[in-house]
Parts: sequence; structure tokens; C-alpha cells
Amino acid sequence: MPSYFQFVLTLMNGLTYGALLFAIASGFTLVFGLMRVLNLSHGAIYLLGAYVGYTVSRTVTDWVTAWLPALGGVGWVAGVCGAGLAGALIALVLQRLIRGVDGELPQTLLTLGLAITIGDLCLWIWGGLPLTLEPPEAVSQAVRIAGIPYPGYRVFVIAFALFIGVALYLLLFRSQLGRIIRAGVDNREMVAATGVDIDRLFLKVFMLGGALTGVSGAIGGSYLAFQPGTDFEILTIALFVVVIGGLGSLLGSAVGAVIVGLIDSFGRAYFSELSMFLLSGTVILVLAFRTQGLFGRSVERG
Amino acid sequence: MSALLSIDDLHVYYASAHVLQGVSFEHDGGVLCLLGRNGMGKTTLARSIMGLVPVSDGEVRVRGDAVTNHAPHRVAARGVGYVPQGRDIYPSLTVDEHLRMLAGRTEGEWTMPRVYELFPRLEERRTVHAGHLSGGEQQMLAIARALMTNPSLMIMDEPSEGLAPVIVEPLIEKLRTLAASGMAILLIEQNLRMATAVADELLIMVSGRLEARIPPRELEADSALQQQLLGVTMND
Repeated sequence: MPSYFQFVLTLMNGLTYGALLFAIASGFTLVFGLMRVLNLSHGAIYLLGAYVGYTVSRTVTDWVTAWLPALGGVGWVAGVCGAGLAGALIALVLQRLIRGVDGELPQTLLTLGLAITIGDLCLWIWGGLPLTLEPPEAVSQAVRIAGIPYPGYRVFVIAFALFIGVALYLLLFRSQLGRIIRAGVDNREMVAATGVDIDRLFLKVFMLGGALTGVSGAIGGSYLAFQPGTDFEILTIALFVVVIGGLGSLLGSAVGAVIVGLIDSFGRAYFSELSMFLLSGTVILVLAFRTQGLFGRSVERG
Repeated sequence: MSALLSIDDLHVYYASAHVLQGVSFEHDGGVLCLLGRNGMGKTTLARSIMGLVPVSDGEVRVRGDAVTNHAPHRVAARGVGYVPQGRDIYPSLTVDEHLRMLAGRTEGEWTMPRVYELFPRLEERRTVHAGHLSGGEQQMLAIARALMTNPSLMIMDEPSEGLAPVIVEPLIEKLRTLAASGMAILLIEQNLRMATAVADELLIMVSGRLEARIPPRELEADSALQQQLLGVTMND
């Protein structure tokens, strides 16, 4: 039954892509919700995470396998950690730069400038060929889903996204920092007036978002090839996710990510000429009938 | 010993509008009420003290230390609590979360149990999202939130705004309780009933300048003065 086979495969591909998109979009939406700044360097941080992850992973793998071949997978884990660190560092730089700039439009333009700079630096360092990281054997074994063999790594990506989702939920809704972040999303001026250093809060959220995006770059780059241009593809798709789900909402980015993942996957499999139109069309429909997105609130001052 | 709050020749502009035109006063305990019509610069004064709008000239001092144009969190850390106009509670947080997010950040007598003791109604509603509270409850919450920063001075910007008289009365009682406990309050009001009921002294603001500093009795007794300074009378 090739059609059943294709359907399950397409569904799974949509879900795994959606899972990755959620990990990418959650950092994006968190930063926007708090700072009202669309971080247009988000895709560049993803790409940088993938490249740094690639280099660290290869270097550490070579080094480790020379001593203990059985532990080769450690290199990949190191690559993912390195990617997170790179993302957090870029976010640190970005926050320092943005602090001196007044107004949301100039701030957004600054992030665009940074995106172009990072993209060019990556091209200079890593060249223009498509690359992928090699995930360890342990998470790459094929698994059977509804009787169909499926790459284990993609199932791992779903597990990763679920972990990120639960961790972010606990952070936002069960921790002191989370209460302050949510209060800041509602009214950051008031949060400052109760004694909270809003710049430090922004820095924490920015670095968290950057780390999450860098890690997503290494995780995603382990099955989706990345190259110059991937940065703006990822940025566009992340924008689609948060426009559909609603900017600033964690639940919104989860639902938006699954919707975009499924539309993309089914579009490519069944209506390949229309796949990009289906995505953009959905975004236009959402904007026409529910401007703030499915789970977003209309943006107020502050 | 320097005054708790001293404002010296404060000037604030919005674009080309000269909103505060050399405001000077001192506040050293008790309840000082800033009265004035809409658009006279009362809220701008509160916001410039908190560091929420830039001051062009002049100085704001808390216990003698200049805090002019300091970041809001640094002004708050000096012991200035802020209850903004329109209350500005966080709609997506519960009542409890409003207080909990500030618990333990400052030393002092105002802890969550103590704040709930002053506002039993908030304790009954502790798990409710603040967006679902009534206007009066939201106002209580805004005051409770400011108390959690353990201030020595509270700036309250029109707490009676938009509240029915039957809700303003218990609010007046709460402010009196706070004042009696020794809390210094700078109250911004348009509501003469509220102002004269709780204030020790009144500051009258007209077009970005302070016109008078008088005891409440003087204004209560003189409806011509009420009309002249505020454009309203007690009977309005």
C-alpha cells in the first residue's frame, strides 16, 4: 500500500519538522513577547549554531575516537553544547548592542544588520557547500511507526522538542524568573517600577533564546542540510510559525509549528507545485481573520 | 536630615510641550495629595520621579540622594513604591503571582501574609487571574504589589479613577490604615472627596506648576477656590 506508506511518512515528516520549528520559534516568540523586538538575526543564530556544532562535533569526534572509538557520540553532544554556547554569546552581543538603540524599528533593523553580518562571516569561515552534522548511532537506529520503518533521529527530534516544551513551561509557569518574565510581557515598565532590573531580565531571556536557537541549529542541522541562505529560510518559517500561532505565546508557537510543519510536509508530498503557496496562503488567511494569531493577544503599549 | 522626597525645579518636556515647568516641593511623611485637573502634569510628575519619563532639568532626591533620571528599578530600590494610573496589573498573572514574584526581594515588614492581612479580599481571590478581577480589586492588587517592594514612600496615581463611590470608601479606609502605620504617601487625585478624606496637606497643580500648598480644610471650606483651582466643586 504505497499510498498508506506515503501518508504515514508525510505525517511523520510534518510532525518532526513541526517539532524542530517549535524549538526554533519558542526562543523567537519569548524575546518578542518581552522586548517587542523582532529578532531578525534569529535564523542567522540557527545557522551559526549548525556550523559551530558541525566543527565542534567533528573536532571532538576525531579526538575522542582516537582514544575510545565506542564513545564517538560524545563529539556530537559536544557539538550541540557548543552550538548553544555560540547562540547565547551572539545573543549577549546583540543585547549589548540593542541596549544603546532607542525605538523598536531601529532595534529591529539592528538585528537585521547582525543577521547579514553573521551570514557573511559563516560563508567566509565555512564556505558555501551544504553540510550536515552526523548524529550518534544511538539515536539514528530506524524505528517502526505504524508498521513503517522511520529514521530514529527524527523521532529523537520530537522527543527533544517535547523536552524543550516541558522545560519552558516549567520555567515560565513554575519559577520565579518565569513569573517576572510573564509580568514583563504584560507590562515591562511596571515590572521595572517594582524594582526589577529590566535590562538584566532581557539579557537572561535573550541568552536563553539564543542558546535554544543555537542548539536547534545543531539538532536540525543533523538531518536537514544547511548552507548559506538557510538563515533566511529559517527566519521566514519561524515568522510563519509565530504569525499563525500568535507572537509571544508559547502554546501558540507549539500549535503554529505543528500546523506549519504539516502544511509544509503534505504540501511537498501531494501538491509540490503549490507547497509554498499553501504556507503563505495560510499565513494570509490567519492575518486576514485573526491578526493577532491563534493564541496571541493584541499588542498593547509597554 | 534630608526630606524623604524632595523635588527641586523639575522641568519635563514631551516633544515641544513644556509639561512640568519648574516644580519644587518636599514630602517628609504623612499623606500629601497632589490635586489638579486633567492634563496639568500630575501623572508626568509621578512618572518622572519613578524614572519612567526623562527629566530635562531639575532634581529628584530620595532621602537626600539624587535619583534624577535613574532607571525605574533603582528608584524603586530606594524605597519608592508606585501605584500607576490605570492600575497596570498583569492580566495573565494570578493575584498570588503578582505578590510572589516580588516576595523576598526586599527586606521589611511587608510580606505576603502581611499584605493578605491588609487585603483579605485579595487572599480570597489569590488564584484568580488579575484580568478577571473587578476594578476595585485590581486597585487593591496594585497597592498590594507596591507594598511588596517594602517602600518608605508610595506614589499613588488616581487610585479612585473609574471606581464607584461605594468602592472608593473602603479604599479610603485602606489608605488611612496605611498612613496610620507610618507609610508616607504621595497621592495624586482628581476626586476631592478622596483627597480631603485622607490627605494631611494638598498641593494644587495648574498647567505644570504648583499653585498652592494648603491644608484640606481650607479647600473644603472654599468652593470658590475649588472652582478656581480645579474647575470642580465638592458637589460635582
